[in-house]
Amino acid sequence: MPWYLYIAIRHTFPKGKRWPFFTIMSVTGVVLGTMALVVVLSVFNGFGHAIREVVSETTGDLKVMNGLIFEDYEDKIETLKESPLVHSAAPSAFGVVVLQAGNRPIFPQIQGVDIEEEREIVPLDNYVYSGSLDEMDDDSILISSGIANTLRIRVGDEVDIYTPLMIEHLKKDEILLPRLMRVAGLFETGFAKIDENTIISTLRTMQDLYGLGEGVHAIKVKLNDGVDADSAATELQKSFERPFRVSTWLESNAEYLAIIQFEKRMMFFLLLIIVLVASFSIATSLFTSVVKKTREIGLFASMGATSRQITACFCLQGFSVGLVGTAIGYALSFAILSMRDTITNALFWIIGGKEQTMQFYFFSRLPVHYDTFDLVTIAILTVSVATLAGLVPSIKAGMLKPVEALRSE
Amino acid sequence: MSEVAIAANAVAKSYKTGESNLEVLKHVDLSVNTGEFVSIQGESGCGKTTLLNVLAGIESPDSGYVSWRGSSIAKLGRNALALLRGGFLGIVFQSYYLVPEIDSLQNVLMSRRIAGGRIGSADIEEAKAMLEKVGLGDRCKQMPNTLSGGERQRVAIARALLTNPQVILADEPTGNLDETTGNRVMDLLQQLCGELGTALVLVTHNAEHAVRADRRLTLSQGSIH
Repeated sequence: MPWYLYIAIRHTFPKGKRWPFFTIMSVTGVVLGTMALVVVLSVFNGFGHAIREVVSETTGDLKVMNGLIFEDYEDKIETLKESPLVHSAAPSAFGVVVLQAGNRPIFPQIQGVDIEEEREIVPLDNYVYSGSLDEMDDDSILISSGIANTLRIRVGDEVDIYTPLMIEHLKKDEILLPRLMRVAGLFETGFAKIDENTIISTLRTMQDLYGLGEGVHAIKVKLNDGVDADSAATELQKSFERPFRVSTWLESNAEYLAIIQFEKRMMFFLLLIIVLVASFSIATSLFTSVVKKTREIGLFASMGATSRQITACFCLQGFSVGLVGTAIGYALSFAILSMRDTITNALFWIIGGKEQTMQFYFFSRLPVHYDTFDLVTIAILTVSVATLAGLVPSIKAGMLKPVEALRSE
Repeated sequence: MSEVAIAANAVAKSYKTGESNLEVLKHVDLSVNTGEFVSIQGESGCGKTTLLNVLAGIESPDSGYVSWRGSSIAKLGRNALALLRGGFLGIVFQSYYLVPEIDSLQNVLMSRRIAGGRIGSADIEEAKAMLEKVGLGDRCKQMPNTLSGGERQRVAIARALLTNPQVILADEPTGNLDETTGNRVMDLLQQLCGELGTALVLVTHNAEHAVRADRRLTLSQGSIH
């Protein structure tokens, strides 16, 4: 080991002695900065990852649409199923209706699906927590947990459905009669955007409610395992002429995912300030160290140390503070994130509002995803900032004249 | 015939103190042969330490030059000089200057680390043997703050000698020690330099130590007498 590395380690972390106060403060600063970055970015990644998983699971991998109603969907589904990329495809129609239970109206999103074919794309059976999919017919619907809780609806209850088509009839002075539907089941996907305000009917019911005839709005596609959605969309687009467009679930939710990505980047830059503050603590402690060790610097020079080696010696102290601080920061971050359920439960026990918060953020527990690129970037950044912080005092140490260093009081 | 290990040739050195110029060394000619023991005495502030610093190449003379083994060091850059210094000479200071964060053995090894780079088991054995020679074989793992002044100075001597330098420059090595301990340290320094054939330039106020030298010199009025 070169002497300057050896001394840098011994200066910063003396053997058999307590760490010097300045080392503790500097390392603590780096630990806090690293922890803030790793914890927050991993949680943001967790949100993004969980949202991606849920969105892809609940909406299918691809969607084929032309922006209008189309009736030849069965041919198109056949075309899609012929592709080796495609696992299954199912028709879908969607819109907004008025649902009334008792005297309370609500305005849910409605999805009309072919239950059997939809099962091949979305694990509907897993989502139904009360009632059964087998009970579904053209006079019944599935209701999401959010609506069921708000309107206190149970399986077997009957609800009234009003559609925009009925309003058109009303304009013609026709009597407005709602469609009476039985609740066949309640479902929860884990994706609050869907769980809050969605009902599912058979495709035929939706076609009746919206006056679609034999038409549908879209075809949902599930790809075979391991097939990349973007490249599959490009490949399958070749089978469809414009205005039909094959889009991925990423494109369909691009704005939502972009907001998460933007928030993550903003948090990264905001939390970087903590690392920069820590770097000042490193610079200050190294300046103090250079002053305290001036005679030692003279001694090294008198023994044949070059100014570059002396600079390296002090610069490596900043580096070792950064390295140790980052390592401890990572260890603590992983420990905190592994105990996140306990920590969040304790926090909610103190401040309350767990249900509202979880509803707002869509998930029943804090999601975490470790992104290798992020982890490597944080490590390189914190160690680099710590090393750079030590550069100025290190250069000052290297420029000291040996004789002046030895004579210093 | 012994060759000249280190020499000062017409060396002059002055310092600016406010508006005036303090001429510390006016015209110093000094040559020390290999294995020779030279003592330099002089009043406080007469320039003894400055002369040692100039001889060690850690301070440049205003005029004249210093030569090591017959070659002038005047034109060597700071880093080249530092690298050369590590293998050529060892310095023993009055205040020992041990690194407080490492034990005695590692302090001794510092000179070898700086001069030579990597440390192997042979170097460690050599350092232990050197500590044994200075009577501190059982103190290898002790930190400097647990050693007495005399012990610290012996560690410093072991450190200076580990690289087998041709010259030891000792700047009042017993200045911080009591008489008995000072005499022991001086005995040791003289004995080891004699055994290793190392030239010793000793700056001291102590006349008893000065008379032990092969040549006894005095620095006054900026010149060697």
